[in-house]
Amino acid sequence: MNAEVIDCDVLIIGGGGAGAMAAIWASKEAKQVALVEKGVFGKAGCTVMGAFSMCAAFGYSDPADNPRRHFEDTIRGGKFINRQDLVDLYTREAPDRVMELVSYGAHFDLENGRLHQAMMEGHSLPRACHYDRRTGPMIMGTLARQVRKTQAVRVFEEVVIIDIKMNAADSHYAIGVRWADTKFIVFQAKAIAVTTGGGAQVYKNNTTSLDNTGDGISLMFEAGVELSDMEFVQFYPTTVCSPKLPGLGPTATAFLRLRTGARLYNARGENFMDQEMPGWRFQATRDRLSQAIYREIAEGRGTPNNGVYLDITHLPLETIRKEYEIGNYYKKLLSIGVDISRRPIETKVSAHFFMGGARVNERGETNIPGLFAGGESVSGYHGANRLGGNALSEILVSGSRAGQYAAIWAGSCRGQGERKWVDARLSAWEEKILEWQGRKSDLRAIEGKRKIQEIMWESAGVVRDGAKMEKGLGLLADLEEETKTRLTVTPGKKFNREILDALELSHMIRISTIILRSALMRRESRGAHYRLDFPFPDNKEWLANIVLQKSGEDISLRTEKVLLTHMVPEE
Amino acid sequence: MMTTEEVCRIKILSFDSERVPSSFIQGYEIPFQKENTILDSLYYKHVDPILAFRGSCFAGGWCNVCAVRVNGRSLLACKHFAGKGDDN
Repeated sequence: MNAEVIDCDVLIIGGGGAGAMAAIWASKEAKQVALVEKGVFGKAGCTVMGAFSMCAAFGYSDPADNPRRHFEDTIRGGKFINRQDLVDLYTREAPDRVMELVSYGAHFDLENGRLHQAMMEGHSLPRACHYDRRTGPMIMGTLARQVRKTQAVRVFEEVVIIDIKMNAADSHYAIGVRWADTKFIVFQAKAIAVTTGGGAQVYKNNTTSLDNTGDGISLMFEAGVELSDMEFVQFYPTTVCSPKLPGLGPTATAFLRLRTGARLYNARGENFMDQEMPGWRFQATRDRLSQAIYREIAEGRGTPNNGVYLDITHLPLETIRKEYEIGNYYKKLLSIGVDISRRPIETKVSAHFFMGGARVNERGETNIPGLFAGGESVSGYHGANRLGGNALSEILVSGSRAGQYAAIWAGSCRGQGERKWVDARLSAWEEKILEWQGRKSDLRAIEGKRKIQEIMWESAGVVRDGAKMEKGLGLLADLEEETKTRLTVTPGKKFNREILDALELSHMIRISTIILRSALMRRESRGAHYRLDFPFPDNKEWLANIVLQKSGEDISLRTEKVLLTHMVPEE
Repeated sequence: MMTTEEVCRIKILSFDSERVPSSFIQGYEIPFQKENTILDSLYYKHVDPILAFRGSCFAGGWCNVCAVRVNGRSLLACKHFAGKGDDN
């Protein structure tokens, strides 16, 4: 088989914020770093969609803040099943990583010459750094520029990795396909770091970019990596529903919630959160709020578009102008014909973030030698529920560590692995694509994706129960069978999006199955995982992580008790 | 709900070197939905499975990869609604 072979010390799969950070840190130790990105580097992925907050405990806006307070908030928000060693490390390193960004030329909104820090829900003190409601694009732009400046890093854009083979102490292999011409590229790397993010695209309503299909998590699972906490998917309580707000991002409406005085009510005009939790604005974490909103809708008190209202029309115009000056929010909305001072906005609940992923240690190492992971693809940092603003800073910490230690690992690699595997897999993949393209059947990948999104929204959504999840698993198994014989892809090799869709479809089926299996096993409600049949948390049995691994054609699941090394649950 | 189904007609200047040597205009019809962006229309069940286009954030100008030229204007496909055009 003829395929281009790229030799490198460290291969980084996924070019979002964590991947870029990993590349920068890997290049400090390694001479050749390859970064593979499925879309356009610096633009694709979810980092660019981070709208506002990036939390780090500088203590600028409130001197009482320190990493320990950040640690405590994160553990409480994660309902005590975070990995405390990882959170401790994250909260202590986050300020350094943010400053590293500043050294690369990142901009932040300032106050008295220092970073301004805003309050976010679930945090006890203001610690969210931000830039003009475009924090994500600013961070990703800065990191992408820095990566381009780094000589040792070679970026491969619009290449999707479809297969990895780990060879213990020898070189590892990864097979990629280039979107432009469906040519295979073989990467031979001494260490691999996976930073592909989560896979919230498996849900019908989601806030993530189109490429967020769980590829990395699924590839790692196939390679034998232990995953954990996969049942925890964050649902964002107040995302754009109606009117659509192009240009402001899917979570734009949350900004209304967090600033002064917005009312949140159902179709009957009842302020349901005020009744349930008077200080909900900053105390109610995303899991709690999502579940409350979902309940309103499920019990028939939702708006025509299945949402609830956020409303600031009762505030004086002056206050609105002042409060929503940040990022030109008020004026931008006016320019697209939405006057928030005159009309309430409908918002809905959408899948947002995977708290689960590969089980890693503080060096970003998985249980497979030579395979590292960082960013949203790893578990442990956020427990059962992520706090707002913790993602952008966590990916910097976990990404940099994965890159750094992957490069150190690469230094001790013995060299050549087994090429036989590569040749066999290349022919197998080529045959598979030809088979898809030769079929006369009618199941298109995009339809398969839509089906998964429906199944997952119904069975593993905000509110779950055993029977529905069993049904969902059945439907997924049927769909998987169907794709084996009926999945068809249009012929053509140049920029064929359907090949990409078909590849992503298999990952989506795999991670959906994993989510459902884990969710069925956890017989309690905790954080983002809410079960009608087990509606309460059970600290006796379930202060534990569900760890799962591929075993033959099946999944083996076990529980592992959380080590409460730094902090124990109150009560 | 609308009872009579409105359709949205789009014409795309296409190029497919694997099949036809020169560029050609390809017309498509998809159900018209209010508040559907141009990008949503392109991705609607893949108007044409072989049609290649870039799109990532689908949220209106965050990733900026979906730039297209529509009716002579350069714009982001995810930021503009597929409205009633003046051209067709």
